[in-house]
Amino acid sequence: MRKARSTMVRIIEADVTATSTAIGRSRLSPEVLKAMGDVPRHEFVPKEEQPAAYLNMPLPIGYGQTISQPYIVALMTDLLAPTPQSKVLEIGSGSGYQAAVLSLLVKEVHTLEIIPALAEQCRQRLKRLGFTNVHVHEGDGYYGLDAEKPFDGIVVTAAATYIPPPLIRQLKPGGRMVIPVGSPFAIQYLMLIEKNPQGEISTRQVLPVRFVPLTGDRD
Amino acid sequence: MTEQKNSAKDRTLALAVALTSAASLAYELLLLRYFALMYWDHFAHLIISMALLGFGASGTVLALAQHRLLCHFHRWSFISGLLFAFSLLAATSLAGRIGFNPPAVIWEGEQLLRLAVVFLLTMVPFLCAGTCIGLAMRWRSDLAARLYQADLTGAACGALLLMGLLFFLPPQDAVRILALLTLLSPALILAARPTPLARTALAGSLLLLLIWPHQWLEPAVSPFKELSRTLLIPGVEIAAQTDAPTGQFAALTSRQIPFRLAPGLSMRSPVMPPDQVLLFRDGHPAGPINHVPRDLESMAYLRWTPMGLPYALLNRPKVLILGSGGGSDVGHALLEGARQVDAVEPNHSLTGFLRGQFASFSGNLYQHDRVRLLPADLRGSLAATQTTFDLIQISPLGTASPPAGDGQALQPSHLFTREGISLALSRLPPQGILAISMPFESPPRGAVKMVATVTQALQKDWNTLAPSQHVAVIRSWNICTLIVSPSPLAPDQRTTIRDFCRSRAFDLAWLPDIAASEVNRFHVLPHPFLYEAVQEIWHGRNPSRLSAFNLTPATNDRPWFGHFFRWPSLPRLWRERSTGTASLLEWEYLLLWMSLAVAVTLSLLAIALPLKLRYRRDAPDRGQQRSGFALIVYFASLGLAFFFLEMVFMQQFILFLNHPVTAMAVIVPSFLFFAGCGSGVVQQLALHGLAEKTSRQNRTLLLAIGMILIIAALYLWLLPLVFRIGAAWPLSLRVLLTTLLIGGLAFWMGMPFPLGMQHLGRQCQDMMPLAWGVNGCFSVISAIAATILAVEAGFRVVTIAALVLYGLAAAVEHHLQP
Repeated sequence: MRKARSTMVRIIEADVTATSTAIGRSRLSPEVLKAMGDVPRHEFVPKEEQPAAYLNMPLPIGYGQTISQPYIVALMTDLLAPTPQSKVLEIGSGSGYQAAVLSLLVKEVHTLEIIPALAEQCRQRLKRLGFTNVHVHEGDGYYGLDAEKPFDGIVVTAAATYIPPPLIRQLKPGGRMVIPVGSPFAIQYLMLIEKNPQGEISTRQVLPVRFVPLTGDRD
Repeated sequence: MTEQKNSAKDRTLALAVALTSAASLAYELLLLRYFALMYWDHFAHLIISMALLGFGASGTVLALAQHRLLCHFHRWSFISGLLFAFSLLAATSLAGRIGFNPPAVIWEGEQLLRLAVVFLLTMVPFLCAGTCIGLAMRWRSDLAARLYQADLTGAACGALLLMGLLFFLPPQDAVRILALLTLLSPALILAARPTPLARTALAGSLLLLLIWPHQWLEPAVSPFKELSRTLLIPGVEIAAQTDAPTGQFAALTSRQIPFRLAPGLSMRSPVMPPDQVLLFRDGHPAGPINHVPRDLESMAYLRWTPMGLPYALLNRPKVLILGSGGGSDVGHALLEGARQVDAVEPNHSLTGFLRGQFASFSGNLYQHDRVRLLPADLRGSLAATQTTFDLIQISPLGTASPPAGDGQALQPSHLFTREGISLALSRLPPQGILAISMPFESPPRGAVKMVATVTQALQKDWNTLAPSQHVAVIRSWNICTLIVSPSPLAPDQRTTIRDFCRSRAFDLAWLPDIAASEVNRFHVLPHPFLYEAVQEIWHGRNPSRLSAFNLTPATNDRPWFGHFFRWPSLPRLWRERSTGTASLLEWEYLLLWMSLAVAVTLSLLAIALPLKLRYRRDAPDRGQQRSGFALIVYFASLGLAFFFLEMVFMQQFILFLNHPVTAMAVIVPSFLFFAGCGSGVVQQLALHGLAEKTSRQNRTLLLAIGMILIIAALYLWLLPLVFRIGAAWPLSLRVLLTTLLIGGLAFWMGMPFPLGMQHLGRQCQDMMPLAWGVNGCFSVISAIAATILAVEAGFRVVTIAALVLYGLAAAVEHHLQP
């Protein structure tokens, strides 16, 4: 499986290089790539999906949820700019894969899941795999985790038609929030919300390769 | 006495055919409901069109085994009738449990295999039904026209029956009733030749259909549909659900975790949405019902969405809401002091929730004295009224938001065509506003296409020299709003728009006097895509950054607003699907092409196999080869042409009838019934010996095809005029006119097939099953090809193609004789 993970990381690197103009970075941080290479993705998917675990594609995990494709997970993680001192909140734990990747890069991860069965599965899995700095909570992600605020980074993988104000409040000045937009099998773009040291909010789209004009580069 | 007895037997046979046909058409329509519920609409159409290949396959079965089957006609007819009833339940039960996951088609080739299994399963009932009907026609070749009439009339009744059933029953109950109905046909056959074994088999089948487990028939809804996902949230439950021919509608409540649907809500909003009930149609979101406890203040959050912009520009407007759904836009209009609100919503079931169970929760919005609810088609309602409105509002909170590419590429939308927008503008006073809000995708294909459509409407229909002066475009991070006015936007209006956006952190994408420094400030894109694209449109150029997509405005002739696909872009979109282009691949359109290829291949095999076996047995001379080829061309042309015309005129009449349910209840049955009448006339001619002579038959065929050519060509020119004049007529008059107009064409369309069959019945009965199969296969190809041709070239070209095909059939008919 280690070999398969290395291949997956190489594919992510190649995709990042190919989309560098669009996503505004020519490569991801080596720490993020290392974490992607260390987390056993096959442990986060159902048995029947394990042969495809290291392909760069989203996979169903039950309950109408997916585990995002590795390229998107890596990009989202990198956009959060995690440091070993960071405290990160994830809304929508799903399989726990994103939290596991983050846990290798930050001090503490809190992840909130609304579906009780999924939260329990995630908790058991992360415990079994030894991701001890991940805390799985069950509940409504809209309110975030007031008791644990502030967070250096927040990832919102659950669908939202607007950005919940409590989450913005729980974001530390200088912190970042990432929201993938689109259907579970086809992410359209990532939205990055930054809170500057003065507490002001700005949002921007991080765009996959398709936003580069397909007639040729004009930049 | 013997003659009377024979006549009674003929009637029984015709009735058996009619019942089988009624059940098969009803089942076809019911499967559409099933698959729309379980998967997505476009997959439903795809699966059904492929499943109907079963009819074509029945021709092959009959061609290969006709002599064996005819020796024991009653036995085989009885058995295929029983199998039809059984397979109807079995296929329905299994098809949803194959594990087919439509959204994963983008990533997993294996999903195509699962889809193929679904195709094969659903083909079986139609194979059985086709065998029943085709065998009867072959057995009584002298009654081919009468049996074809029974086939068409039965199908018309089946369509009406199913529509009636779907008003009262969920699909899982309706399918059992159809299966029971199906048993009537073998029961009639049994009555003609009763045997103890057959009686037992019939009784056993009846018992099996009655005890078939209910849960096996329940639609297995995809877990990736929004409804399934929402139901996983603790405390969420279905508070109300209704079934209708147009969909299954559900209202969900949440006891623990409130729903919070507020597309485009500003991050600066001081107010949040109130408690909500979520509405779904076939498992897809259809907007919220907002809680309005006492006054309308709970709707104030809508002032902080882009949909609030028109109310900042107008004072106490008279408003028309298109697609009012759960009433959010109606409540918003009342909150802003609208002096009158006309709410158009074609889905009666949705508004029914607000007038019934949730009337008090929603503050009795639809009973408000300033609100008038119109259950009508969106564009049809515009055509039917001469009233003007200060504001016409279309928003994603309702049911009329423009279709996006994702899964809706093949959904025709007559409102968002150049002509539809032009019609909407004609219902505004000079200072009125048309406000269209839609999800803001990346890249913003929909928004740019809408600007292009509005521009064309202003330039071509309104002779506006500078459309850029009439338009404003703003966006939040996920909603884009276009404001269009028949008059140029005044300076004070521009100031208001700027203030509105600044206070809510919305971005300006276009204003007549916009400066480049004003765009892309709050929600920052790597490039101001929308602003750049809109500018290019004003300058008559195609948006260069979006050249990968089809942004040509939709028209009446090609009303597919959500179709953004361009073939040259496919290789790159496919190659880069893992890095973000997956959502841009219009799979429904690609699958349509794939299904055309599969249908053509399978059809050719189904036709070639019996021909090959026949020719191996009896080496054909040149004349026989020519007549075999003529047979294929003749019946293939008819199969293609019939549906081509049916599809084109169905689309046009839907607009005229102004309501989807009425349209469904009138158009399809009328086509089938009157075509059946035409076929009945052919049978009468045969009974009177008038069609015995080939020359007379040729003349009848030429007359029929000549009439089709004349009437269809006349309709191309005449119908738009009739529809314009009759748009405001009472419904009963429109239904009558539609029936007559369809009848006038369909009557003649029902003649060529039985004339050809009669010809074969006299000259070469063994070829009748092949003709039945060819017609069946090409009817399926026709359904797929008609959509592709209409998307690529327009309805007019589809009509012309149909007329050419009818001409071709007339040209080869005399070669049918070996």
